[in-house]
Amino acid sequence: MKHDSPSLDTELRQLQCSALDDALLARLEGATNGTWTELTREELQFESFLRQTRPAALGHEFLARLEGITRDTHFIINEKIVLFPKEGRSNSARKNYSTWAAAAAVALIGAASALMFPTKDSVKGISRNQTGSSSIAIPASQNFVPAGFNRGLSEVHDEGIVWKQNKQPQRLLRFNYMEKMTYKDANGRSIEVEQPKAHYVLFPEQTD
Amino acid sequence: MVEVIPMTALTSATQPSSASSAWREWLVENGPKFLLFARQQTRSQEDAKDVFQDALVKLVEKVRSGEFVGGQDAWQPYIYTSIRRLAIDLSRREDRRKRREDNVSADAETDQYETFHPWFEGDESDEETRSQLEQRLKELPAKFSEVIIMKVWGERTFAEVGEALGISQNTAASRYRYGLEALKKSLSTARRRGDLSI
Repeated sequence: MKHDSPSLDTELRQLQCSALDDALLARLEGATNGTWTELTREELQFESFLRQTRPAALGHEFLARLEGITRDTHFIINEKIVLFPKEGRSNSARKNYSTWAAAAAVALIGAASALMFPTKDSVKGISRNQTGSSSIAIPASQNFVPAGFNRGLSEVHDEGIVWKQNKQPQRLLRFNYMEKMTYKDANGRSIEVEQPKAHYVLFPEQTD
Repeated sequence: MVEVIPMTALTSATQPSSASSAWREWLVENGPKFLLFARQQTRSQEDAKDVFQDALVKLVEKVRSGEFVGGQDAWQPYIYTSIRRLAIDLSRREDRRKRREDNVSADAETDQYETFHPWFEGDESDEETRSQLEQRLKELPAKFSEVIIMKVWGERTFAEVGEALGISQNTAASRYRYGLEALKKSLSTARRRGDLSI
């Protein structure tokens, strides 16, 4: 049978697309309203049944091979706790580096913040050790103003483990500083005062 | 003057013996799931082991170098994704090799070898369930069985499954549902035939 173009077009237009089946409709509806990933009770029950059959355990030989791969690699428990491997020179160095790097960071941050923001408290009640020929107190009338600050970290002591009330062991580190404050007046005269200071810092200690 | 500053944000645990035991614990707990997934993705137990091992090597190298983005939570998705990619690479290489070789006898040997390396744990009492489940999973199209294995035994969310497989979470959920339904029918048929007592 031969069709001319207009009649073929009419016949095609009369054809209807097949309707979506219920399952596909449910799927589309679930996908659009965000419930498609929620399982039914029946599905959860079957899932639970399947889970009762456990995957085969790793063979001893294969497990040992995998352990060989992870040897000398630190294990991240979470963002705050990292376990380091026991053996190996490089790892030992890394362990020490991490602790003391953290301690040095604390000291540097403290020094920098003090340098940037010297306050009245930082010079209150200090023992004075004036440089220069005469030992004079800082007279307020002579308008000495702070001109510099240096928090010199002199040493760091590991004070050992302490236990807090929440049973969490903490490593106590003591940072000894010799803070030095410089004052100048309008005539260019300068006075330096020093003050020993200690900061104690607690680091949570990981224990097994 | 003494100041005590609690520094909870800067922590460096220094229990050196813990790392190796932590890794072992992690491998014992999660290794079987990874190996099962690798087994589904590859053609033999040995290939599965190789692929899993290579995926672990990639993870460890990234952790050691500090390049790994994210914490331990991200390790499992990374391993799944790596296993899948490595399995695809291996499959392509195997296909090229097979085109060069007559592999009929090798396949027969592989089938026999596989019977000694079941996918699931099982004692005598549930041996039938184990073997039927393994058989039915192998018969399912791979795109269904991989989602089922990651979701049921890998305990991944649909979003995580989708990310590892490069599909949307809705597609992952669809494949899971179809696969689960097919698996259920298949196991029911086995039960009616008396092959399975569930």
